[in-house]
Amino acid sequence: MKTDRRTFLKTLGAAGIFSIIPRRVLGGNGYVPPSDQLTKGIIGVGGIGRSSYHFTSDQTYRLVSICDVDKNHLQQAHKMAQERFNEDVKTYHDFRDLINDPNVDVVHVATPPHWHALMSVEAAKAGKDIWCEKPMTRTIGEGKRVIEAVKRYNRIFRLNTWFRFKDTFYGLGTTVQPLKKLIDSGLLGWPLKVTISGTTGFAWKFFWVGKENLVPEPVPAELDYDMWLGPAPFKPYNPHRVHQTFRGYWDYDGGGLTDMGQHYMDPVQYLLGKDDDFPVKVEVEAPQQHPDAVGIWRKIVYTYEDGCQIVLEGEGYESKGKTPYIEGPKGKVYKGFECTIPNIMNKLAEFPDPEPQRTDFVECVRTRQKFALNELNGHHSSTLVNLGAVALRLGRNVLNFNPKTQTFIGDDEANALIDQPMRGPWKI
Amino acid sequence: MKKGQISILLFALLLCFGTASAQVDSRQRTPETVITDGLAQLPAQTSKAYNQVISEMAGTGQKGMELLTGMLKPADKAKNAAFEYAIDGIVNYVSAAGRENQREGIRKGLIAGLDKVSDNPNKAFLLTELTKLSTPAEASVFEKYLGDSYLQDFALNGLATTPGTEDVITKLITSGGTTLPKSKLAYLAYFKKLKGVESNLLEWTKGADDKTLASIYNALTVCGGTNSLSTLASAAKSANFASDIVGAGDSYLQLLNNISDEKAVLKSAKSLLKNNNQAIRCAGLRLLLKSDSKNATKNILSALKDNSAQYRNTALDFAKQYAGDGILSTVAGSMKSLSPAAQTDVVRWLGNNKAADQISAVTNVLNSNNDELVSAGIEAASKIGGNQALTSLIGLLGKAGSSEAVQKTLSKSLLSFNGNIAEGVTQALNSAESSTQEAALNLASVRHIYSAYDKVLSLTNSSNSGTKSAAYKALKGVVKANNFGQICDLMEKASGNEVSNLQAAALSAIQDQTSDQQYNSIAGRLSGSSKAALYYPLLAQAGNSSAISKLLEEYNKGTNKDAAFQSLLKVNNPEMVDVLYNLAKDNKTSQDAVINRYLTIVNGAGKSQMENFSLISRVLDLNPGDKVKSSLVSALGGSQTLPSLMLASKYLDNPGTSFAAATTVKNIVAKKAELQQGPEIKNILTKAQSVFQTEKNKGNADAGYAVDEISGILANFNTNGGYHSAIPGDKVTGVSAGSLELQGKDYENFELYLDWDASSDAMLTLRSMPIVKLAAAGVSYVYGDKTIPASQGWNTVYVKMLNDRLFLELNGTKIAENAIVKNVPETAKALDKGAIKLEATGNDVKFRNVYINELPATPIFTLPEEEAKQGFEVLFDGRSLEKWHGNTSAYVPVDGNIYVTANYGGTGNLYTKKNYSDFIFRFEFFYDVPAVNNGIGIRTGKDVTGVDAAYEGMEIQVLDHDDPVYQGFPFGYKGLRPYQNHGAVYGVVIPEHFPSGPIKQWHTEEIKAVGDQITVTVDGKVILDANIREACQGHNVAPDGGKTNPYTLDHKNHPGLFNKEGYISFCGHGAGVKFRNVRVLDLSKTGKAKAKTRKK
Repeated sequence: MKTDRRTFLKTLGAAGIFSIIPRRVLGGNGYVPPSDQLTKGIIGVGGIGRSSYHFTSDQTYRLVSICDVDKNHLQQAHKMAQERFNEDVKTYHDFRDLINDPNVDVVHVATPPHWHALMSVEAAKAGKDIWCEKPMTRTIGEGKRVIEAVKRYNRIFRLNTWFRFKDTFYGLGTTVQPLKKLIDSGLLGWPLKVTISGTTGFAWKFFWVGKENLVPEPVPAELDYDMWLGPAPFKPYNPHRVHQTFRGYWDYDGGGLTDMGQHYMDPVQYLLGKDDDFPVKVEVEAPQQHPDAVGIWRKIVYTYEDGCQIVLEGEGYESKGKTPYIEGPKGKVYKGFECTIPNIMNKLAEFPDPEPQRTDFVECVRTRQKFALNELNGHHSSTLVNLGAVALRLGRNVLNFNPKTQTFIGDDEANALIDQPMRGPWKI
Repeated sequence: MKKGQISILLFALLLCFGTASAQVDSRQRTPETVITDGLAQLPAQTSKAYNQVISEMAGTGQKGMELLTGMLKPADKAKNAAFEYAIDGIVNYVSAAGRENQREGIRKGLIAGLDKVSDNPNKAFLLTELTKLSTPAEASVFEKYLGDSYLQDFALNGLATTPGTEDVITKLITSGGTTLPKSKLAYLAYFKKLKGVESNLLEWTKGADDKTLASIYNALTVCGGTNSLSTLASAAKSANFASDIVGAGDSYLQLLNNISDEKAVLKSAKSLLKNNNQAIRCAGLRLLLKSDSKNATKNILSALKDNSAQYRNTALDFAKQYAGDGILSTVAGSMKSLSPAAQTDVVRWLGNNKAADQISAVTNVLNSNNDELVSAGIEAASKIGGNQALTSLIGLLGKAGSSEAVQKTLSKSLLSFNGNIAEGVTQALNSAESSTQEAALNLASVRHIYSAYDKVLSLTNSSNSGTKSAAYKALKGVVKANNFGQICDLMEKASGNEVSNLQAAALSAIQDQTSDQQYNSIAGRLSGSSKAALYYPLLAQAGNSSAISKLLEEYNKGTNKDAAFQSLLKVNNPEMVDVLYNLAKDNKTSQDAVINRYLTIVNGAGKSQMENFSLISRVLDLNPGDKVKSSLVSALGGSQTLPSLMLASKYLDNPGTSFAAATTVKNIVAKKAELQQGPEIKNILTKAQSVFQTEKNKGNADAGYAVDEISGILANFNTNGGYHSAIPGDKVTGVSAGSLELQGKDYENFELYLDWDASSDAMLTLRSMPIVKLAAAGVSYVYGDKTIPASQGWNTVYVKMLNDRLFLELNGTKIAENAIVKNVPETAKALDKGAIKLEATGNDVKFRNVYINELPATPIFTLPEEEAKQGFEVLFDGRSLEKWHGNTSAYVPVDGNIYVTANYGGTGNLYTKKNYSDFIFRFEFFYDVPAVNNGIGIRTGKDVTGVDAAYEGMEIQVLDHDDPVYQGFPFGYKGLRPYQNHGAVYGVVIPEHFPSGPIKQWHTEEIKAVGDQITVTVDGKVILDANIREACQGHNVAPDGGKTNPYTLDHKNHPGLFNKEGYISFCGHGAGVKFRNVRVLDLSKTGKAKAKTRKK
């Protein structure tokens, strides 16, 4: 039987969880005493929450609780934890119970996006640190609420997409770090245009579209549909709304743009040094969107005040010919780090590497340092996604945005989508 | 047509119809028609189309919106998508700035609809739409639904987000005259941040249940002030700040953050610090610092003594904000009094703030024996930068007793050091400590400190084995081209690991040179060297043609075959495509690796779709392993053509390739609407769907989307016609003496793909005429002047015959495009259907993958009996433009019509081959796109072409003149002049208005020209019947010889107005108009007409 960590702490009479310097940091032998363990509870153990990326548990970061509003998911995940980690994790139906579980240090939000902000804020209120899946929030206003709550309780928040600090960046054929170094070197000049397109290695997953004319169906017994919807407006149940296909509905997500968008654009925001900035303009060319079901689009262009641009090209609407991933006045770089500047790698070697980022979440929690991708820069890249979604939903070709006030200029209807009321009793 | 003037008008896309008062629009359409027309075009596929269609629909105002809402049927019974697109589109459209005056009608229409629709989902939808446009005047509409359990939340949203409803909400709260639960009212107060309801909210807390309390407390965070503090404080305390449903603790904290009464906040903050929950203490500390700026420094210093890392870091996080920049030095100065843990926090904080002035406090900790503190110091010093930081960090490099983890952090931090590290690293290379030298060698190499080359080279002779090996490894980072010879000398002499390190250095030395320079440098060494194989990787890097030949030569020599082979796989040059293909054929054992490399090169070579297809197809023929096959089949998806689709489909059955094949099949068919046709492709797609279904069952969610996507395509699939295999099976078909006739039937219009093996020559017979010559030397057609050389082996030929046009491509390269067919021989009938034959012209010839898509036969126009009797002549029978000349590129026979297209270039007008003076010209016209513009030119002078018919003859206008773009322009243009309307003798005579109605309809027209009398009849109605001489009082040009002619309507000279004769022409090449059934009666040749004219 495992030692219960809280009992252990009580008997020790320790004041704080992390006041003891963990042995593993000092190069211990792999054993982590319960007092040094960080624990997590996952809310939402459907597709993402149960995927190998997130459904993890080890000595340093242990899975202790799970929550889902679908009984089948909960059961399957419980069994998985038993088989994989030999953990008899606690199961919850109501996320508030998981958040208030004293055995949980970190709340891992792996639900559809319409819940992200609300759960993150609730977790902060309960004094928990937070690991939240992308996209960070469904609206710009929700992002601000998350920032406030994290600040109010001084929590550590990790937004979970990771390409700004590790892994090959999808089909681009390179990690982000050398690109950051290239940009910081100034060799490409300024301003820059970044194109996120099939031709540069990024798929917008247009198959994640919604369906129109959904016929109401009875809610299956295993699903608490009302709790699944939560703050989203009530719409009659249809299986396509929930689980793996929820991405196709504006009430919960926004297709490839919002579901992949932060994966694709957050690193670009980092590359361009725009972690504290927002674009001043978003332009959209797309077929008309249905008010409920998400459709496709052709092109979305974000422009920052200094002229830097992020261009998204929809699947099937890529520019002809060879498209640079990054284009500056003095040079271009293509997929696979192919650069128009001769011998670029040798030239770059002489420049300093980009400033290191804090990418060990457990360490950040312990040392109370901001994680590399946190509520602040996460809110900025989440806003990129949401600016596009607002323009799409309203059929606007152009929306102008004021980065200081985080509001649209001269468009009341677009501004109404910044703070959207929640369905009672939910509030944020 | 007058292109110059009209094109200005086309910019005017933003059109306002005015408001609901308009009964009909400019096309004389009723709102019913506008809505019906609009619905047929939704969802709009482009922004331009959206703005056009939706602006028209929005122009119908209340009436149109009522019609649309009336079409909504209960959600479980009908499909409402089209109406939802329309309603949401209109609402979004008028919600944009500048369209305020269009909103009232739409609101009224939505409200009327709300009363009429019966089911809740539709009511909820309409309430949501109304919310986007609502004003305080609609508050009562929302209030009506506040009592409805289904619609309550939608109505609340309406009240909450409508600007200016504060008074209404305040009244609901203060009057108490509503059944709405207090929790909901409190939420409204919160959303609106209402001031002035604080006392009501506080009053409501008495005896309220948890849910209501939660909402009230939440509202008080923004609606409340100091007066609410005690209520929230006691609630928070009695719940011990639990994050329960009521959430009093958080509301209390939020209120404290929001109010400005510092004294009250300070008092509360102090008590929060005593809470045993660290997060609450942190929240309290922030409030303390905020509310007591006088003591902020003291409070921060004292917080740093706390045991909790959370608490200490909260103090640091807010230190600068509440204690000012001076806090950096104060805290840095107090380091000694802090615990190592707190020191670590402070050092990180100084680094995060790049506190250059406090660098000493940071470097001081580098001597600590606490590794975590040292690591934090290293990272902070690196971020801060500067000489002192660099010197201190270099001093730690390889330091005895320093842990591996610290050294790792140090190396990483030096590489990202904020500044130039060259000097420091060079210094460390000269250190007496070998561990320091080793670390410095690595840094010098990674950072390319070229000035250290000599030092690094000398260290390769170090007596310390670690230093020696590190020096060899480091060479590659510090060499330049002028070191190449020296490095090569060493390489040839070296042994063991040193060889590969020196090889890496040699590669690096010449890396910056051009391929040719590199090759020359290498060749110079290679010729005299006994260790040729050492240079193969260098040749691979050079990668020019010479290097490839050299590697092949070495490969074929056989002494270092494998080494040469491995290097060949590394060459990055499009020339490698054929080299690798041959290698793949020769090397069965390494075939998969070679083909993988081949595919990488092909993908990067920027080839056309059909070239890619051929290149992939030929290596699939080599039958590689399933994994490689899958990559190749996936790559076929990049070439969205029928041959790719068909080739991919052959891999659907093999479990090892089926997923890749299904993905490619789906992607091609989804993107190519013209391939969504016919039973054969339908079968393929269905098979692909079952592959995805199997994947979905295995738990692959994305495969589920693919299943849905294919269902969507199949639902709209045209099961007739389409491509199908013209030769059963996919076997190679040998044609020896004689020929193979496809399907044993005759074809008129068709598309054909086939693969032909270029090792023997062949002829393609089309419509029973020998047309396409397939020869190794080149592919051509018998009356064309272009020949494209064939590739070795299989070639893909595409032929399309449509009416009088021929299209021919070889491997994606166009040989004929829109070429006019000829009779071969002269006696043949090129337009009639005939056999398709594949004929061997010499040796046996091989074909495979023959796919044909038979296109519908063209309907042929024949004269009605009466016109035949009268002597009319058919000018266009649907199939050919043989009676016309001029711009036959932009005027093309399609489906029995003359279609004006921009696809094939071509400029100018289309002219009859004969001249006409007095005549009756009959035809039908069809506006395929809105606002399209053409014209009928007549009497431009005998045999004259290329002039502006409107002035050098007459132009009888053809124009979709009722299109909204020609009405009421926002940019001050007054719209079309009446003499520009359809049927006008352009600039001279105004016709009666012809209501053109919706586009995409056929209209009949007759132009009769007899002497000076011109008569135009459209859809049976005479719209112009005028004497042109009288119209300008005989002054077709200005009597004073000037440019302004007061006698014509456009005030211009029309020198050709009274011409006697000329070709009849279609003027203009703007795409999107169709003509058919074109015929003419030449009155100059019928005595009767002449007699009539004379009488008149």
